[in-house]
Amino acid sequence: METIYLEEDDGLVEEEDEIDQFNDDTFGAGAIDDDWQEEHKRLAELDERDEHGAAQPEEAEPGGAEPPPSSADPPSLPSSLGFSSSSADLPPRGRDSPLMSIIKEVGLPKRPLQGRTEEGWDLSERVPPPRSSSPVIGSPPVRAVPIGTPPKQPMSHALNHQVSEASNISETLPPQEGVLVSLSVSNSPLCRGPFPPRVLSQIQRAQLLNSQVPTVAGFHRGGPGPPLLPGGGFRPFFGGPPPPHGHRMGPPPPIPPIRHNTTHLHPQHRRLLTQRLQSRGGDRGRTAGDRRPRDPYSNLMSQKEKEWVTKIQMMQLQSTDPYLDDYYYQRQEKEQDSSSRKEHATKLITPQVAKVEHTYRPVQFAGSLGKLTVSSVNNPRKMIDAVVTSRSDDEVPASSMPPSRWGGRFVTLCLSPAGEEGEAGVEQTAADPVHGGEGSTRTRARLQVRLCSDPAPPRLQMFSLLLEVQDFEKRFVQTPEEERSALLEQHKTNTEQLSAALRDKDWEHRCVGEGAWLQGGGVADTLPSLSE
Amino acid sequence: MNYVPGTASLIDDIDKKHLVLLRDGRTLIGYLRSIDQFANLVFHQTVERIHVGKKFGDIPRGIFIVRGENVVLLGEIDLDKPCDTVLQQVSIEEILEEQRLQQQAKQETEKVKMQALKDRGLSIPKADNLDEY
Repeated sequence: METIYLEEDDGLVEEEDEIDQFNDDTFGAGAIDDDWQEEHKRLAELDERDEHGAAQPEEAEPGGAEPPPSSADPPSLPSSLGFSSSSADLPPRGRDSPLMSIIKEVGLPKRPLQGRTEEGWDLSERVPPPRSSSPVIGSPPVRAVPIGTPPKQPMSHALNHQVSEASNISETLPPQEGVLVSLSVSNSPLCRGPFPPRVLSQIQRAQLLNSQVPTVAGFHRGGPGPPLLPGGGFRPFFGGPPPPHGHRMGPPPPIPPIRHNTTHLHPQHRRLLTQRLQSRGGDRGRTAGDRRPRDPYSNLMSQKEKEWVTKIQMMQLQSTDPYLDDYYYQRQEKEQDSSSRKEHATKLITPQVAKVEHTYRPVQFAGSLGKLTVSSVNNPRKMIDAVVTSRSDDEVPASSMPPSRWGGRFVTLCLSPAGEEGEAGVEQTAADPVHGGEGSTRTRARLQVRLCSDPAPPRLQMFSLLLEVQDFEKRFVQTPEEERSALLEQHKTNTEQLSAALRDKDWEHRCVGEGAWLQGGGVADTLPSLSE
Repeated sequence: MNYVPGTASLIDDIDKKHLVLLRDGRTLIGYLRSIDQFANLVFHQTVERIHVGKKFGDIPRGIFIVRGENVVLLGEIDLDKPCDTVLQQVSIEEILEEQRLQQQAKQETEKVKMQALKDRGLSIPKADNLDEY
């Protein structure tokens, strides 16, 4: 339809008056929707009308150019863009004339907008604008938005496309998001050759950056309401390898002052992001769909925008300096790493001490009598060398006891009434206290009282019986199965004898301290067992 | 807690009904439509709910854009959950009246307090002035 050529124009003078108009159109009541197709159609119709109707006083050079839109609809530029068209320092005409011409052609007249409003555009209708094949027009319009605004939809794709068809100028005027489409457009013809050094305004740079962003996932539904521009800061997020049309770049765009190696999203993060976004999108659709089947305002935020926000958040988690960055995230990462790698638990290394058998070897000197005793916790003072013998109580092994064996120790244990007995000797043998594990208790309890000459007195016999009875249980457990019945028999005999002795014996009052106590206590204990 | 465990994101909260408490004390309820990296929020079909005592009143507000720094807390409202509230909804006029009375009472107590302090020679700056530091 319309073609664009380099041409002079006087449209600039009118821009000053129309700046606010454009502002209003963009941000105010005039800006309702961004369906550029319709707008474009209207523009085209309008232009044709103007072409015929209005004079062309502004047309400085005839050229073969399509006459610019009438003065009635001059393009208006927001002054904030720094376009400097209204200021004294106008850029050289030659360079901006394509810009101007395009602006004239493209300008957002008020009428079409109003027309659209009246029709009541549906906000939720979002058709992605088709790609532009024009080499010149196609980049998203520049708004006075700061760097860091969320991405617009796939305008950049259009721009990329146009570069590939550099020679094809005769394309139609494409999308109309705003007048200042041409900002980046103006660079394009100049970019083909060696690029002249040129000071780009911030917005121009932003556009450049934006235009080089490759579209990640095809076309998405358009953004809400007033079209949003991809900000100049977009580049760092997608950056990394130079954009495919790097030759279009002017002076290197200002990279925001962040650490360079974090400009690229960590590949793991990026992978996670895309993975989860997709899966989550699927899940969300299912669950939310059940709950709210018809929410006409849902998904105002496109997937791309969500990705973008998440990307920013994740970028903040990447760190070069753990001390400077998110403490909790660092800690969590460390935990995860350690848990994944360390399958085997780290063992505590303690000094290994060889286990040595510690048995007691009493100190011995050659030729000495007996054993030296060094008293310790594990080895209390050994007073008696006692050992258990298997001699029965009734025997009088007095003769069998060699006096020499008595050594230096002779314990007199008074176990009987004082009057009746003399001394009682304790059988001494070379007893090893270690072996007296079982025997030691028995040794203690079963001090065999031997009379030197007389047979054991009845009391003593009784006591011995008592001891036997008391120890029966213990012995019973320890004896093997075969002998148990024999032991049982003996136990029975013992108890019978004891009970008989107790009944028969006329207890005389004796002044015996310990002996009687021992006997009495022992008897008291065994009475229950005797009754059985 | 979505893309990377250990992170929090509002992405999952989009298109759900939320209650947000702002720093100036306002309570807004609406559908969260959009967010950004600063946690600026876009609310749709927003209702400002004024609570006074056990009564509350809703003022429909339309679309709200909340700057992230003004958010105290934000919570999702589970629409499936049965609403068993002891609060009683009243009309807007009534609740505004109640609010006005409440503010008035508060101001009066504050005035008395300040006077008492002044009498003792103390002056404690009011909290709203501190913000400007």
